[in-house]
Amino acid sequence: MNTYEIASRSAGEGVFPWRAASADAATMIRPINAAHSVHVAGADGGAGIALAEIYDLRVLPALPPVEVFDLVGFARRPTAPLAEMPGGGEQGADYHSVDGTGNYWQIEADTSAEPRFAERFRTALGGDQPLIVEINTTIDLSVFGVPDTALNRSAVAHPELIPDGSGDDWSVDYRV
Amino acid sequence: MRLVNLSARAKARDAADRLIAGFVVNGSGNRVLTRAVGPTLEDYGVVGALADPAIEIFEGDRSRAQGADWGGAM
Repeated sequence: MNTYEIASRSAGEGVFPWRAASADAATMIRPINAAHSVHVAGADGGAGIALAEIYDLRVLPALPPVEVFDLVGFARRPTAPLAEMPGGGEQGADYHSVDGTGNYWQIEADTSAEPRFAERFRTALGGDQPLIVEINTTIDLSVFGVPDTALNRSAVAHPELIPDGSGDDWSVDYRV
Repeated sequence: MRLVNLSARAKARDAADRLIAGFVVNGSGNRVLTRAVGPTLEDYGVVGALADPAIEIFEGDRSRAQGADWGGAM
């Protein structure tokens, strides 16, 4: 689930404001020429009053461009223990603010050598970056920009900044 | 004129007693945001709001997407 885009779009003018980090539910799809229905039920079988909402994303405020410069710069920073990040990488399509497509990066590192790697990574990204960092395991870090889950497609904001995988020891794997 | 939002409020329970809102699109390529608001309704004085809603989108009878706690902490 793309929590960054859901949060950003939900904060737009004309959208019913909701609590941050609440148990409210949301998802996004790209509907095709067909009849659709939104079903709401208690996740735990509980009962209560709910509001089902459908918003056309074309008229909600566009997302700010995803900035990956800090991410790339951080991945390239040749200081121990970050040097343990492996090398390589591919370019992807550019960020598309209308479609909401964005970058999806996964960076693997040996956190056994640096238990605070995740925290350092968050600090390097900065709080104002439109990026979401999720820690999957103790050794994997996934950095999400705005992946387009509906199309299962990803894009990269600044492909020119991404290492090409040659001549260095760094790695940023680009997933499609 | 363009429809921006469609909302429906009702009491929902389990899978057999869901709140269902339908919509039809003409064309393809544009995305929609769907939300199931439960706990937030308490902020607006709604008594008996659904504490933990789950949302599922169907295209016809085929499930397209699901969502639960949206985890908006950023």
